[in-house]
Formats: sequence, C-alpha cells, structure tokens
Amino acid sequence: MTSPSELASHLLDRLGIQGKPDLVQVAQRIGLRIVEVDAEAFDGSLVRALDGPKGIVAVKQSLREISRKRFTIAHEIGHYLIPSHRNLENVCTGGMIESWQKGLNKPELEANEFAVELLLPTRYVREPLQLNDPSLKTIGRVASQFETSLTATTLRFVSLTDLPCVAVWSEGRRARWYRRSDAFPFYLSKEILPCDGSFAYGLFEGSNAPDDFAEIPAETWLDRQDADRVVRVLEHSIGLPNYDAVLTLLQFELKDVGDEEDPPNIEDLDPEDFTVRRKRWPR
Amino acid sequence: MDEKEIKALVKAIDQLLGDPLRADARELETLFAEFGEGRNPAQSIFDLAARAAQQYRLEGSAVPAHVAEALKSVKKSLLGESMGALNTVDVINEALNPIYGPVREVSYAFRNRRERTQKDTDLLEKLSGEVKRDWTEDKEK
Repeated sequence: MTSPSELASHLLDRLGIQGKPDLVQVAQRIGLRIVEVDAEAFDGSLVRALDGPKGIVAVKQSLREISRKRFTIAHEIGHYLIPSHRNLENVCTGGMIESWQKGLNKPELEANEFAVELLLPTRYVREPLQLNDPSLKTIGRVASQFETSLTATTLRFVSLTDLPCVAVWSEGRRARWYRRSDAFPFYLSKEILPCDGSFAYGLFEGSNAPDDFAEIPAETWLDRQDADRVVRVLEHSIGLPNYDAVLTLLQFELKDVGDEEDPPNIEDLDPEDFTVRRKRWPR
Repeated sequence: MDEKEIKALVKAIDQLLGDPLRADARELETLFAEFGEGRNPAQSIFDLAARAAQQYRLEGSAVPAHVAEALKSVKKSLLGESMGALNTVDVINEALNPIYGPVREVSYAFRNRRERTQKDTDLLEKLSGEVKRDWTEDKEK
C-alpha cells in the first residue's frame, strides 16, 4: 500500500486541483457531505456507509480558526479513503487532530499525514516555502495562502527541506513532540525541554523572544555530545497563548565530518578493551 | 489459476447469478460480453457485479445481498484478504464512484468511545440516519 500522502496527492491529481484545494468540492466528488455541528466532546467525526463510498464529515462548529476546521475535515477525508481505516472508531477529539505525538495511534498519524499533503500539496508549496531559507515569517505567509495553521505548515517545511531543522511543540512548559528534517541526525530529549535559557522557555516565563532566528547555545537544545558536533544553533520561537503553547523552529549548522577529531591510530588501541578483562569502560 | 481460486470464482458466479434461468436480465445480458479473450475471469466477475450494483444504485434501489456478497468475495480474491492491499488507483477510482442511493449499514463504532456524551451520540445517530437516506434526489436538484 502506498503512503497516505501519496494517496492525497493522487486524489488531487485525479480531481485536477491546483493550488489550495476547495475541500467542499473534494468531498462532493467522493460522496462526502460536510456539516458543522454543535458537538461537545469531539472536533471531527466521520459517519460512513459500509456498503461503499458515501458519508458525512461532521466538524465542530465552535472551532475558532478556519485552519483548524480545514485540517479536521482533511483528516476525516483521510480516514474515509485510507483502506485500513474502514472499520475504525471515527470520532476524533482535539488532541488527535493536528498532533504528531508518538503516543497517538497509527491511524490518527496516518490521517494527519494525509491531511498535510491534501492541504499543502508538495508540488505547490516547495517554492513559496523557500526550503533553503528557513523562516517562520515565510512559513506564516504560506499558511495564510493555504489556510493552514502555522504548526502544520512548519511541519510541512521540516518534512521537505534538505537543511538540518527541527520543529518543536511545547505545551504547558514541556516539549510534547518534535519533528526533525531528514538532514538532522540527532534526537532531542523532549522530557527535559525546553531548557532554561531557550527562547521557548522564556516565553513560558513571560519574557519576549526575538521575532526572527537568533543564535543560542547548542547545549540549550542538545545533549553535550551532540552539541559538540554542531557549529551553531538558531532558534525562532513563537508563543501561542490560546493553546498555552510555544512553537519553535530550530536550524542547525553541523560540523563537517572532516572537522571531527582524527580517529585513534589502530596501534594505539588496547586489545584488552575488546575482552571481558577490559579495565576502562566507556562512560 | 489454482483450485482454490477456481472454487472462489465458481462460488462468486453462483452468488451473483444463482440459477441462470432465474437470473435478473440486467445481470445476465452482460455476462457473456464480459468474458472476452484474455480477460482475468475474476476481474470479469468483479466488473459484472460492480456494474449490476451500480445499476441498482442509479435506480435508487438497494443493492441485493447476493450481488453485494459476490462483489465482496471476488474483491478478496483479486486483492488478497486485506483491504490494505488496495493500491492508490483502486482506492481513488472507488471513491470517485460514490453511492447516492439509500444504504443499509453505516459505521456505528463511535458508540464505544469514552469521550462520548449523550448529546454527541444523538447527533451522530441523526447523521447516521442522514447517510442511510436516499441522496439521489438531492443530487438532481
């Protein structure tokens, strides 16, 4: 089976949609109706026929941002089309939609992946996102153009750029999840992030943060061993008070492999280091 | 084609047509045209059943159980046991041919969710009724 994003891309191709998709039009073509409802405990739901393609996407009327409504609808369309989701429980609460926490079950993550490609088609966002020049301002402009959230659009950027970048979502003073680009080789210890000294931490403390990328000590986001392998770290954090959250985009300049210390000469190695009689163990 | 596949095919034909003398004319008249040279017999049965189902839907009738069953079983033999084996083209093709007529069963799994409230349950029950309803007239408006 192909990936959810390939499925979304193929759907857009078949419908001949270029640029920002009209979700009502997409839904109509595949037998779906979209209704806004006065729901209490869910953001979106899919009620579908078991006999074949026909159904209703219900979206919570009181969602404030149009970007969140669009993402919710696209997410439910994902559940509708991904074959392995046909027998799922399909009420999606706020925490499942537009979230990339590892704790989410696979279908929810797949529906999110589908939604990102449907709303921000790779072929139409590559150029405006300026993938070689990370900037939350540019990402914000693309988000406005495609009526998507800053978070979803930032993740789209990170998934497409060839630069070492990481997007971090912190909520209630704790990093909840992060997404790294393919070029970023390390992991973040999100249990202890954001650390004191980062702009993200400062925003939770009520401080202001620079309105563009600014350099920050590498140890603020990386453990010491990884910090030694980067030249510098740039951070741009934006507070999202409605969610008690901070969105951070990190950009890294990695040391060239040639900058690493020369490996020890083979003659310098103690053969006993490779037996149970070794005296020194690596810390 | 191995013996298992042949048996599945024969069963599907039986489900779809039963006794040919008593078969619906709509199903029978396309039968022979379907089995052209070089065609996969399972694909032919699937196409035949799909066409019959579409005809019923266009007429606003419910798809008869024997046609639905034939579709289901041939689809399994064509695609393997898992719906996950469907490829992108198949998935989109299927979605672009939606049902407008009435349907009998809708997904009710939301009932098992912890987050449910009575108000939400009532809401989704109402939407389920709407999905079951015939949309043919709405489409023509």
